[in-house]
Amino acid sequence: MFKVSLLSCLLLIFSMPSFSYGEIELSGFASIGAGRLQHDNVRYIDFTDEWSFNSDSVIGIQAQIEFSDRWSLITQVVASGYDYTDNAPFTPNLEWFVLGYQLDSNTQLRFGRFRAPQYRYSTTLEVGYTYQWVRPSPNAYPLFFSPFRGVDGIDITHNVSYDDVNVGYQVFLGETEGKYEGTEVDAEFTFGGNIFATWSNFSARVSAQQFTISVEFPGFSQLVGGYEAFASAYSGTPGAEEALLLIPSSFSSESQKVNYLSLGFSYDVGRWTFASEILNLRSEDRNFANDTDGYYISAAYQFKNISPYITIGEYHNRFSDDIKNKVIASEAVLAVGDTLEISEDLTLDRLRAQTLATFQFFNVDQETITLGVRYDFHPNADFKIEVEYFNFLNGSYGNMYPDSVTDPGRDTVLTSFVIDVVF
Amino acid sequence: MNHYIRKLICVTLGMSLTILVKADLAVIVHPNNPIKSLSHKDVQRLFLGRSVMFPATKTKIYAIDHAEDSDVYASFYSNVVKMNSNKLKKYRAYYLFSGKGRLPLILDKPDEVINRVAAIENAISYVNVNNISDKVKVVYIMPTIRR
Repeated sequence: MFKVSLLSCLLLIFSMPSFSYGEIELSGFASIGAGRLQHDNVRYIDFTDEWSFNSDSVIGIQAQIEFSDRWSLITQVVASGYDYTDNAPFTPNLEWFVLGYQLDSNTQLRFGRFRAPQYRYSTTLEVGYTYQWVRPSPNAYPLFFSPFRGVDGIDITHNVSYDDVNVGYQVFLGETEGKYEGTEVDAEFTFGGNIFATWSNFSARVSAQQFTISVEFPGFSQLVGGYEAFASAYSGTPGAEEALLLIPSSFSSESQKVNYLSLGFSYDVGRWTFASEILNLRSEDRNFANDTDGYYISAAYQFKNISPYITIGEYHNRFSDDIKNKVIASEAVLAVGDTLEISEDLTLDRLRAQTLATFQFFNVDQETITLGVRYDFHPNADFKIEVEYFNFLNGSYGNMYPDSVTDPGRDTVLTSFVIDVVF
Repeated sequence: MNHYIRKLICVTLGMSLTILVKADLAVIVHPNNPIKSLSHKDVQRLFLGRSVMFPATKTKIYAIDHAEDSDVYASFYSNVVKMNSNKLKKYRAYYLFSGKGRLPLILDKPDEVINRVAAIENAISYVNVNNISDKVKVVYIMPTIRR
């Protein structure tokens, strides 16, 4: 990819009489990060209790070309150390491929693949140089949003000034699909908008997006098989087969609506910068669906090239009670205590208990406190180090994945550092 | 009390002297550019990429910057565009990698900047007024205090 672009670039430079149009501009970014969790019973992104480098390490190359006053093309290929799928580390992904048409000085129409403007830094999530922290707060930038980060579609952006207030508007629609930790997500239709206003040292943004989503998790196949076996074994009991098969029908979802809303603020006063974002996600309360709330508040102090910061935040995820209700309803037909064993150690009670425990795992509460420092040691590079304390609430594991669900999480500390470069 | 008045007079005189020692910055374009003048807001919006065409035209700008460690660059962005260097660096990286468009071309010497603006019809840049030549057209002058 890079070689082809470079070659085309050289050919174009030598064939164009004026270099202002038709020139391919190459730029890029890279981060090398490392981190370690205090405890060995959880995994977070790709962090464990041993130092590892994949979670925050990334490289991206961007090529952009302007064909005329109106037409332009931007493409960006990003290879992340960990992208939440089963891809090998640093598998290149085409994150941007967008053809732009400038309608007027302040308005642009774009077609192709681009980033959805969900949060303040969602369009530059892999470009660590653009933000203060080692990585944006997981409380307002939930990891499970990873498959929704891009849109294949169309958008229109418009910038306007009202006296001293600059406002940018964006509306978009399209589709997206992807994977997150074994879950397959297909947002067959999504649309949304974003308003970003800056006035003097203050900025505010609001972003809303609706998805029509289908979710599949192949990892539940064993549970599904269990219910199918019991449905067949109890086929003689009136209503049993129906009640049992209803449960696994909710382990996935098809074409359900999810509404996403986020608010963001930032304020510069003297050497201080205060920033906050609030996340609110609501889904239809059935099948594989969840509601999420989160926020962070961050304060940073700029002293020459050194900027210490503190961030606090909370995150709450509620999984739909639909499956739980269907398990309870099945107990009215096949009472708890039935001892029919269809295979060794597998009773219906055990299967139902296992189901409740599995989906309880998606009910998550956490609070975090982060202390860190950003040091801009070069005009195009920074070094950041931070310590993030995760307090897991209500017996959950917060944003983390436990090694075993029998060992309830309490808290842990992530120590991490990163060098970010733009070129 | 007299002590404070004397101190106040000294400070006021000092400020007046500072203002007298000023270096004006001029925003320059190609002589064929139909634009006669730009407002302060136009200059801010064009150099932050919030507007990408010359006002009331369909011509996209080709912005040119001086070296990031030069005085004229620091003066232009802090006094004219009103964005400090730490914020500007992050803003520019965000602008570039969120697909909003190209960044200004950077040239090291004021002569190079003037020659390039004189050679490209849609170019726009800035120089100290002392460096202005008749090869380019001035569309905005901003008095700034020398650092």
